[in-house]
Amino acid sequence: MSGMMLAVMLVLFAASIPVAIGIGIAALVGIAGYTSFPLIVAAQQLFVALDRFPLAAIPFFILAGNLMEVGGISRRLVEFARAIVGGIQGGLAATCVVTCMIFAAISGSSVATTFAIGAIMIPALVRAGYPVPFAAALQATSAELGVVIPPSIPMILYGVTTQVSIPELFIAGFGPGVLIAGSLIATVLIWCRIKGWGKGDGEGRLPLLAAARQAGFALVMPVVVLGGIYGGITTPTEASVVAVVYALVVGLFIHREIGPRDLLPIFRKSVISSAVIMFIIACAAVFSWLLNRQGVPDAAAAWLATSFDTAGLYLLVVNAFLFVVGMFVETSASIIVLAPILQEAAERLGVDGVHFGTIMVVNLALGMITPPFGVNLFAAAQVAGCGVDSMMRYLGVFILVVIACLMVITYVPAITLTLPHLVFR
Amino acid sequence: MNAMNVLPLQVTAAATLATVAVALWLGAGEGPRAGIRRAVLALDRYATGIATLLASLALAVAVAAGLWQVVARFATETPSVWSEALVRTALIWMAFLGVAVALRAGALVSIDVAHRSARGALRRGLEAAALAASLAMLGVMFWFGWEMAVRVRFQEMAGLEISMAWGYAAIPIGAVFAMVGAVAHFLDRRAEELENAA
Repeated sequence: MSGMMLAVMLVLFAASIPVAIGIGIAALVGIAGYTSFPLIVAAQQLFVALDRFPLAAIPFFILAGNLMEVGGISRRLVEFARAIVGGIQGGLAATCVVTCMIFAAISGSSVATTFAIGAIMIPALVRAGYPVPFAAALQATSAELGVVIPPSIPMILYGVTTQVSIPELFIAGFGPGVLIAGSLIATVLIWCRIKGWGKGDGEGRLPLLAAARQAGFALVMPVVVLGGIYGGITTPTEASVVAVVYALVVGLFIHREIGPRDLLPIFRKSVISSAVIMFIIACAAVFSWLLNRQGVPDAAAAWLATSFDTAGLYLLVVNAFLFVVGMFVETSASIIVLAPILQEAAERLGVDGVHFGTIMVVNLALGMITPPFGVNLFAAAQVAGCGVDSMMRYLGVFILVVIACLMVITYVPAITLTLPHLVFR
Repeated sequence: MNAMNVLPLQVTAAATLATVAVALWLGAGEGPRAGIRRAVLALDRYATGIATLLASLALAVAVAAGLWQVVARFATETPSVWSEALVRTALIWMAFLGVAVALRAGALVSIDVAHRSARGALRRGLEAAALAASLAMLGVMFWFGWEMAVRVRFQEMAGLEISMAWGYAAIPIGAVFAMVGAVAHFLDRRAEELENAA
């Protein structure tokens, strides 16, 4: 049965049929063809999958991100990041990484980060003399931080499907996020030295204090959102509501860059982005429910745990497997179907759930910049107006850097687990 | 296979094939065909417009209920029982109505290597296959979503004290809007996949 469902899904994916529909139909084929359940269970599972309060954080964080983008927050953050790191050779490229890192602490999505920051950074980098494909590749890679640094949509999904604490996953993302950002900054600075790019990057910056002042309300936002969660004041979902209200108030009344007329387009855009993800979640949940009924996750986890008898070997194999999966499959779907299986095997081998979840999210985030299915790549290519093919020579280096970081994150658990242990345990 | 599945699946399959055939016929050509095509697209503008408004409203309701949830917990120190249920229900409506808006806009993510590299009849064939797959899925969602809503109509939703059918109805109603959106997208393609990806 699993083989048939997989085959149906892959054929539908290959025919360019939307991911959610492909998974949904594969699940329907499984239920109708291989079980005696009435299909009404599919409708029930579609509903039950979305009827969970923690998932509400996804549309709320998306809405908050869109409100802030229209409200001019991305531009202010770019100025702020430039004031900090923009002064050296290659400083503008480093600014791109730092802005993405700060924006990531507001947004839970990396494609949203690509559009919000890329629309400002890519033209700025090109004006400063960087090659267009380099700017696009750098932007696509930096935006990956959007899902590694909290809040993060994939982490919410991971927590909901595996019962691992979402606040712990969130705070665990900081260490890996800083590691990846630092490595990317070091890479671009060295690269700029070798190629002689970005010698005039320091010109025309705002003084730090002025930059901090104009970005003040944007910078308070992550403090409010994450502070609420870690102070034990709000749940992640409640924090996401606070984020929406904060962004709305700042955009409407303080920066005054959002008018009442902008609201319907912002809501429409948020509805579409949320529905796309939630439909994938619902369809993948039907798929996953069926696998569960057939005992596939238990059997697979038992097999995995006996086949790879040490945690180190298991993590290596899982990383290689997820890297390939990430090239072809959408992140939310991979998490819902694979996380319960892989997590259980990891636990049998003594790997911490929060650590494993972080590895999985970082790895699948890498899938957003690996062709043929790399949403960040397409987004950055669209903003930059260049082909994905032309980005490949620069992208290869960035991918290798992130893979190196992933290996460090995998085999040095302290990077991930120190913060959650300090705060929660 | 469960006997209860046979008739709905047969009907869905037949209706899907018929709709795809009509859509292919309407998809090109002048004269009366162009007239019907315009009428279908006009119907879609209304339908998808309504779905967009309702889904946006549902999102706004969810935000308001969520805000009340936070305020109630701090100000009155009594956690509100209905607001959490309202957030969940409103977002389910937002999601299933939003699928219609997303399908119309071509925003559902797909691995579109094959579609991008195909030309001419092959490309149109892939688009027809995507339409068929979407309609089949939505047909099943409509039929069994409706059945589910009828089955649970005497159950009460905890916290809101209304019938569970009000929640489950989002699936068949969203599916109807989405079918219109899927056909309209086939007749008049848009690709907003990336603008709205998250």
